[in-house]
Amino acid sequence: MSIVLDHISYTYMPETPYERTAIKDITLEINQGEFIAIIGHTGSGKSTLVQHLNGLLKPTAGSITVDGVNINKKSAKAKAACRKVGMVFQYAEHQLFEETVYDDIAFGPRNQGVDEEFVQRRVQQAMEFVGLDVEGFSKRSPFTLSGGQMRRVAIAGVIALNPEYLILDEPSAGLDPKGRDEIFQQIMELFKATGIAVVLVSHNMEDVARMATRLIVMNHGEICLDGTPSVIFKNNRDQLKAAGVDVPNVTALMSKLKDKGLCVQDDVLTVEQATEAILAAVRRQC
Amino acid sequence: MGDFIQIENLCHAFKTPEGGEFLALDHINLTINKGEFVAIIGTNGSGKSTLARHLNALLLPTSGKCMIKGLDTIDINNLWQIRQTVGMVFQNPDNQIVAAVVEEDVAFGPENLGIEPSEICRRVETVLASVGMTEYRYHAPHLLSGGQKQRVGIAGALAMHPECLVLDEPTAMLDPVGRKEVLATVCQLNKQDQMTIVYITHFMEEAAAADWVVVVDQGKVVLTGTPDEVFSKTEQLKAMGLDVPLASDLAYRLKERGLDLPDGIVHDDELAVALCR
Repeated sequence: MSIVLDHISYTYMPETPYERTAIKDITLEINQGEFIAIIGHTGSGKSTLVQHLNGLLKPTAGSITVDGVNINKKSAKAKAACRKVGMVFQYAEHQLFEETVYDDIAFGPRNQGVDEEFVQRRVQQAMEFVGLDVEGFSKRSPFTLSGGQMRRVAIAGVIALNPEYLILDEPSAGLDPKGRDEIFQQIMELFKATGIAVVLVSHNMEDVARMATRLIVMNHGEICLDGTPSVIFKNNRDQLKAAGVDVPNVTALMSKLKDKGLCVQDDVLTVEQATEAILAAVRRQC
Repeated sequence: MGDFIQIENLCHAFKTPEGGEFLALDHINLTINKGEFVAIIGTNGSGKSTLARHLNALLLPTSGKCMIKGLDTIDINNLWQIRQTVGMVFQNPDNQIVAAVVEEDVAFGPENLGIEPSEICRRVETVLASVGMTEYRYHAPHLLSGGQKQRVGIAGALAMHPECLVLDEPTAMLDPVGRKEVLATVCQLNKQDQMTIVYITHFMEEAAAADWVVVVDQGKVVLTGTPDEVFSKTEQLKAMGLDVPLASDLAYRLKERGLDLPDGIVHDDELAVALCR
């Protein structure tokens, strides 16, 4: 069970003065059970790439299959295959349109033609998933909510579709630290409990380092690195810099400490690891 | 010149669909002097963005006062002067793109102010360079990436040469490199041109670059102080759902484990100095 991208390229506005090739000759397999993070500087092609995964963009060259079905051919099978891929966009709150939070989240499941009782259960589960109080929010208009609350409603709308592949394009941008932690905690739980594939586009290296099982680094529309976060953040710092991305702040801080003469391990990826590493180093010095 | 922005007992109530009222801002008192760099932090829904929108009269007080350079925002006759004084960069750049080509988009503001074309060209060039978007000047803004659009939005606000820039989470969509560039641009505007900056962010490292940090919670100002004063209150901030800069967080954890460190560590270098004595 996987999404397979076979030598895909995409050019915006071909044969016009604005022609721009956003991604070039990308071959990639996304398997169930993987938590893939895609990083790269703004404009490196991350969002263009993920919009191919559920057929929103059709590649200029190459093909994409979801569980063996080519999704770029017009057929009922292709449509069904695309439905397995849930997409939370950048600025997910732009997806909102209904009069109440409940109706907005219910829109997807209703379109799948399931009965209302089932819809209700899905909506409630999805609201709980993103931490929205069912009683308090169901009847409110999504447009009276704060940016972070709107984001949650939009994410719930995708979760309610029970996707087998969950694509998240910078889901935490604009969320406060607690909201960010809550959403990612829920996504991790969903990932661990169901074994679905999660593809996360992110600029937050801490989140990437903590959660992803596989890291893909993009630069100028091409994949320049593909591996586990710990290996890439440890061994490929020069390539990361060239790709316009950075190691997690905590890793950078540890390198700085090492430069200043504190003998610490500098390949740590989380604050917890850093705390232990510093304590160990300080105790050694005493 | 003091009291550039003066906010007194400012309240803002939104109507809820049930016919009730929701007090988004609850008796805010705040003074911002000319040339200051103020960061506002707070959770989603705490009232940060509502507060920002009062600063150039996009929203008007339900009660209380908001004065910009001595001009009351409630008086419609002050509107244009206030909007020229305070430039605004929104959370979402899509909402502020107006033209089909990047440089035209940036020129839109100054054109509307009736500025000489040659001066407009100069301004467009300078501001695009300062946000690192010169090579995209002939591109279509709607086809840029989220982060690139954001930088065009900032350039558009800068091109109007405001005295004060209000930025509502300007780096939320940027990559780490772009984030540093924008923050450096903002710091430079503040230091070199003495531009007053009101900077709303969820990135505590960015807030740490400000002269002052204002913490907003449930429509109230709950904490103000220099970054080292505010970020030494790790527990209080975390209880509110906020965070502290990485160096403060590490220092807090290390102190809890018995390491003897000074208070007020905010920047990486300060931690390095404290640890490598």
